[in-house]
Amino acid sequence: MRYIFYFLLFISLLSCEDMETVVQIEMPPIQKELVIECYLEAGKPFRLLLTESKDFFENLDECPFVRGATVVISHNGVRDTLTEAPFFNNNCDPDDIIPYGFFPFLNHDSTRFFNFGSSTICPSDFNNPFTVEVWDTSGRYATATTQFIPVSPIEKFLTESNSSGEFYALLSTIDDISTEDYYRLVLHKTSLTKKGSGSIPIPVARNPKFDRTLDDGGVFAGKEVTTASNYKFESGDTLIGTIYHIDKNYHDYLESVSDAQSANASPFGQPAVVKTNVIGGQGIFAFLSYDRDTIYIP
Amino acid sequence: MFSENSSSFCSLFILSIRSVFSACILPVVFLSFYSVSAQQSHTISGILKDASSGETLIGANVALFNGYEGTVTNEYGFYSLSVPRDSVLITFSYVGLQSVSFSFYLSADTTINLELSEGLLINEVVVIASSNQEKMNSTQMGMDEITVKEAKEIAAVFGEVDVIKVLQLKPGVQSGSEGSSGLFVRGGGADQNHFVLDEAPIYNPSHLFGFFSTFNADAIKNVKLYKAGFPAEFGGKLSSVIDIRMREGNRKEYHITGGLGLISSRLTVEGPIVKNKGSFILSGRRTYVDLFTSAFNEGNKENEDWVQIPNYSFYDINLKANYDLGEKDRLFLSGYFGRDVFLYKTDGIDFNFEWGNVAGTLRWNHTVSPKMFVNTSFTFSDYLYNIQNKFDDFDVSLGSGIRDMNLKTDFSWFPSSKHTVKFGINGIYHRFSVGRFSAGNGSDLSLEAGSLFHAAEFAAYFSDDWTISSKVKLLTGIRLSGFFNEGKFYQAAEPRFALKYSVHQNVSLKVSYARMSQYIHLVSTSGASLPTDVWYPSNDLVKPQFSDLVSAGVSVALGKDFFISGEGYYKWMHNQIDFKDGAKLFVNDELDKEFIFGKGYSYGGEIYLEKKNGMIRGWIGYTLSWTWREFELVNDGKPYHPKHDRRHDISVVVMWDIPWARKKFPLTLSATWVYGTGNATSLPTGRYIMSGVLGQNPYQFVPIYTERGSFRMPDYHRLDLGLVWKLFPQSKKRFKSDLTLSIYNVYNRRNAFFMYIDAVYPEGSNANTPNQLPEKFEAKTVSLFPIIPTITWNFKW
Repeated sequence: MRYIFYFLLFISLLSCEDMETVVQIEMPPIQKELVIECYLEAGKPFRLLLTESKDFFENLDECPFVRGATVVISHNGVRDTLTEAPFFNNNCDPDDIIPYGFFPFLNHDSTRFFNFGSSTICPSDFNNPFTVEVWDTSGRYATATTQFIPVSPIEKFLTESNSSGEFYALLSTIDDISTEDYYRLVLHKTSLTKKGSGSIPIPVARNPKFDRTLDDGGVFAGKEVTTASNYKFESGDTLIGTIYHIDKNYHDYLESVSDAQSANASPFGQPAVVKTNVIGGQGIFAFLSYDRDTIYIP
Repeated sequence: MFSENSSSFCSLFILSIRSVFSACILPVVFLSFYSVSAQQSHTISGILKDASSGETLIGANVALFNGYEGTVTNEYGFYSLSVPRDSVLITFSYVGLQSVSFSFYLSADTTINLELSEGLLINEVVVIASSNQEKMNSTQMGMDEITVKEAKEIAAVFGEVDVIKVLQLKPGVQSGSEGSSGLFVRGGGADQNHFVLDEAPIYNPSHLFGFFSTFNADAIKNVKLYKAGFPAEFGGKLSSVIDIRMREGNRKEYHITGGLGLISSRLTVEGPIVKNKGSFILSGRRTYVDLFTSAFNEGNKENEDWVQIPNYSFYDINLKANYDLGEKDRLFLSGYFGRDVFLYKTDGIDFNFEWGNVAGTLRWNHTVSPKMFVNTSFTFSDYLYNIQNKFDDFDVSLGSGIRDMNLKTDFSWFPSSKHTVKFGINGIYHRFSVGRFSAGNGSDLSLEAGSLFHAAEFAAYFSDDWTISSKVKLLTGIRLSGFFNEGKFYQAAEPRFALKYSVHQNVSLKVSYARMSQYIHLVSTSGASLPTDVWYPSNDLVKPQFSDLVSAGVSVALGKDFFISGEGYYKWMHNQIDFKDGAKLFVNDELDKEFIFGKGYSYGGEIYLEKKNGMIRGWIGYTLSWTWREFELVNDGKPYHPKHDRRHDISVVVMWDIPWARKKFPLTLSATWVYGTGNATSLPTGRYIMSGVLGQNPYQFVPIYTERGSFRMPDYHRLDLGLVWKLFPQSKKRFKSDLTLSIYNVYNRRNAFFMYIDAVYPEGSNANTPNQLPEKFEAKTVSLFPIIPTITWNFKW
């Protein structure tokens, strides 16, 4: 029995090893596609990030930003050609003096950067669609269309405390039962942006307290569309609630991106194809209509 | 052989004779005669039992001297054989028990109720030569049978004896992933297996997210797996039937058995209700990992950095009782209750996830005549999962389940020595509870969703196993099934056919065809069997699944110990179900709109070599197979391999009674080696960056999946060793015990549980570091089980 014990001890020690193993696999090259990321905001200038997809194992020093493309946003018969941001090199290092090798266009609160922009202000037009078209120097073409949708106002944005003095936050909007609607409800704490140490601002918006895409079916059919946080806030906190009224394309894009990202890391995930409204490429072209409010927990 | 065993028969079994027919007047066998009018043939029928416990024997052999005629006992130990009026030499045998033979002149219908006993000497191996003969003679193909005795000799992960994992070692059967007790039979999905425990369906046959089966080996008597040539009495699932029979309990004396293992303990109590008239068995099992995790959590409650470990446990209880109402009637009541409990409690959060099965069966066996046996059963089955999450005053609850009530009657009729006829009917009431969700804080927030469906399923069947000649046997059968839901009725005719041709006494050729229908479907995106998977009924959108399976094979008995078979098959699976990418499976009142429909097919061949008897026993199985799925909306409509597609699959199982071990401490060594081609898997082949509205790190990558199932995980192989060390088995003391040492994954191979692409960041940073680029991407496999030694102490009193 003594030997059996020693043996068990020995092999138990053996088992205390890392259970991850690096394996070599051959990846077939993919067909590289244009990736458009463009969010229109009424009253704000056009901004667009144009990149291309890469092989997964491709060297990360290779910048994904597409150079020299023609980007046009059309609306109501008016074609606006976006200007490309000035590029200096192909260095993809974000900590470089010129991060990513170019002087980017920024959005109004400097939380995002783009390599194509225009001074044209996006109109509030409910009736006519917006179309983006992209031609690049290698002959690739991609296009997408989106439509303005009205803001869905915040109905409730409140906090309540439990006996321990901790608060939860609740955010809701009233759904129009005559239409099929989609929403993105986001809650942040303190502020949406702060300046980082480099030239590119570090948005704290990256870490929302909740960020949920919802549709008006299921539990919300004919009701308020609501979401709530855990009891994670305390007296003195400032909370920022945002309700984006989004279209189905953007809703499906967000959901499928989330599915695709989690499928890679989960043994139970199914591979998911990202749903895009870009024809001939990847990405999303969507209108941002949102209502935002800030509350302070006394 | 027959004459050799007759003498021991004389000394071992109780005999009772109503009409004298033999010179062997012995006190150990119960024989009774029915006098009948003068006929060309008469019937020999009865029930075979184990002498030590009085439990009925399933699949025991009853063979006539000519070797071509014979039968096996059914699930209740009953047999019936029509034989011409003449002198007969008949042998009764069962694996591990001494066979019994005797001769007499058959002049009337005769009832022979026998009790077979173990060998007199501990190391005596009781040879059952005719067990192979039955396989040769039977039209049944694609059937594997295992006994718990076999399962207990084979090494198991964490020492938990698991009959389902032993089935995975048979050809044509694949496990889903490392350590999983899920079954994938001949290309079928995990939801296409019909698990029945004493005739009651078990909808989630696993504990701990699939790593252990719900079947406590101490309470199980026999397991049969049908993967082809499905008998007409079975239906409802496409790919396999796993017929599990519980033990009945010792009818002669009280016993307590149990075991102490690494992660769980077991205790079983059994005994007679009235000696030799009825018995009961009560068996329970519980894991105790949660006791350790609770202690760790409690010990660290002052430690602010301590991350609470969730408490997990499972338990199950099996209960069975039976009683002889008379010579012709027997009543059984059996039940199962099992639960998995996952608890996580920390500041403000109270998460409780519970799931499990309840099953019950009330059965009445009636011997209508020596030629007819009828079993009538009422079964109840319920599976549910429920997640309750409480954040202070805010409650969220999510659950789903299925509940069945089934009334069925099955007749076995033996009109002549040439025919075995089976027929029966059944009706099932199904209740589906899908995505029952509620959330609220008792004041201004209250949400509810979910669906409830009521459906009914019916079936009637008839089959005849016809011995056309000493060489040819033909089984023809038909099962008519129907399903009623939401005002619509769906029906199917499911023909069954099997033909056996004996080329030689030891060589048989067999072919079979079976159509199967499945009216209820498992909603699962994982490809594995998770407790949160939901059962869903057929309706206007979700058509019933059906399959056609053709098999052809050859069976060869090599001597009296070896059996070899080869089978080829092709299976078509229609109306297969998958889900749209990004399907919303929770809190969705219109779940069926998330489904997509396609087809599947699988083909391959299996070779199986078995040695059941002797000091060295075991089997070798090899499977070569291809499995495909084809959906218009998946993979651009091109066929792809599902996860469980496995080109090569090899299992080698050897059990060896070590000859030089002392008789006081006999040792049985077992070794199991498995090899399988790596599972098909999907990996993203491309990526792009997404900035997002919230200004994410631009190097948050969006993976691009192209072809599904186009990658393979590394090949799987593993060696397990087991050692059963019996302590003083010859002692006359009532208390007996053994030590079982098992070593899982002896050479400590890192078999892949899943594979993914990981981003490698410079030291000191990670994905959350602002504006940090990964250095590179690499493919990684994650393994679950390294080498795991386990020691289990088992006892019997």
